[in-house]
Amino acid sequence: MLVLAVIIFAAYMLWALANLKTPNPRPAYYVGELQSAELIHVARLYWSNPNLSMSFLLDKLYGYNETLRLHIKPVTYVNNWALTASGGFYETRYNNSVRFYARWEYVKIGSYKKILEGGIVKLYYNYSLTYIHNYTAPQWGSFILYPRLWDPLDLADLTYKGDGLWYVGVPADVSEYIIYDEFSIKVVVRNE
Amino acid sequence: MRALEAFAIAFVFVVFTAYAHTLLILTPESGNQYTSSRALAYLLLISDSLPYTPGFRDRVAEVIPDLVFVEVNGQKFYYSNSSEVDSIGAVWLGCNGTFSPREVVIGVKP
Repeated sequence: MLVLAVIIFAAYMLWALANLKTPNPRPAYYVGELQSAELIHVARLYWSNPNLSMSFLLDKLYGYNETLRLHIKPVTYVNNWALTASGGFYETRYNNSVRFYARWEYVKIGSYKKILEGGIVKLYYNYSLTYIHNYTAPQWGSFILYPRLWDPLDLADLTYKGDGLWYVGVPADVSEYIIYDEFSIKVVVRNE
Repeated sequence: MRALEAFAIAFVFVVFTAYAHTLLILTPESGNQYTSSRALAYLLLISDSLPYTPGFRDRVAEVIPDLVFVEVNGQKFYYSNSSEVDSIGAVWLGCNGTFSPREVVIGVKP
């Protein structure tokens, strides 16, 4: 009888426990990848149009700390860029180890003649060009992107070979030719 | 007989303790808030123009688990019901050299 009583008591206690609401702590908010991604986005938008100054964009971003609870701490940054005879880069480095870096390198691999509209024959130089974006942040390390390239004038010949490698044909009669990536960042090719 | 009874009681007590302990372990978090925050970060990294396209909501629904709603600049679209919702906000400040903010808020089940 005592065993039966204990079994019934135990079963009842288990049933009562199962129906209790157990504590379920949840984070009030999470600060991590999203905040770093917002900074990368700001840098990328800046390099697509430097007339939008970094301080303007960052101020706007901080404004969303209130409305969207973004929890982005104020940061400082350093911008660098360079154009060389064989490539170039754009870089934004924040003081919290977040970094935007876009780089391209090219080498001339040949030339060809192209027949344009109206029967005009033009000499083109062909380049093998590598274009990458590298976004680094403490949360994910390194994030590599191979943005698409395009030419708004539709004069350049762009062939994507994979892994950021492009064959780019540009008119030979200009000192430099500007193509754009999918974020509207300029990629400058200087004819040798 | 007494010994058998004592053994039975002890056995029931052990089973009860084991089950009670299992039930009392805190319900593990789904981690949806972390996962969804990371997924939004991924969308922000791969594209500046996504929220400006009609397919943005569907893209969000593809990558965010347990999605309850997607709100873009105040327009809310519901995907499921939930009595409890965690909200995560992000902003796309613009694309292609143009400043044109898009505020995005997603709601996920906790």
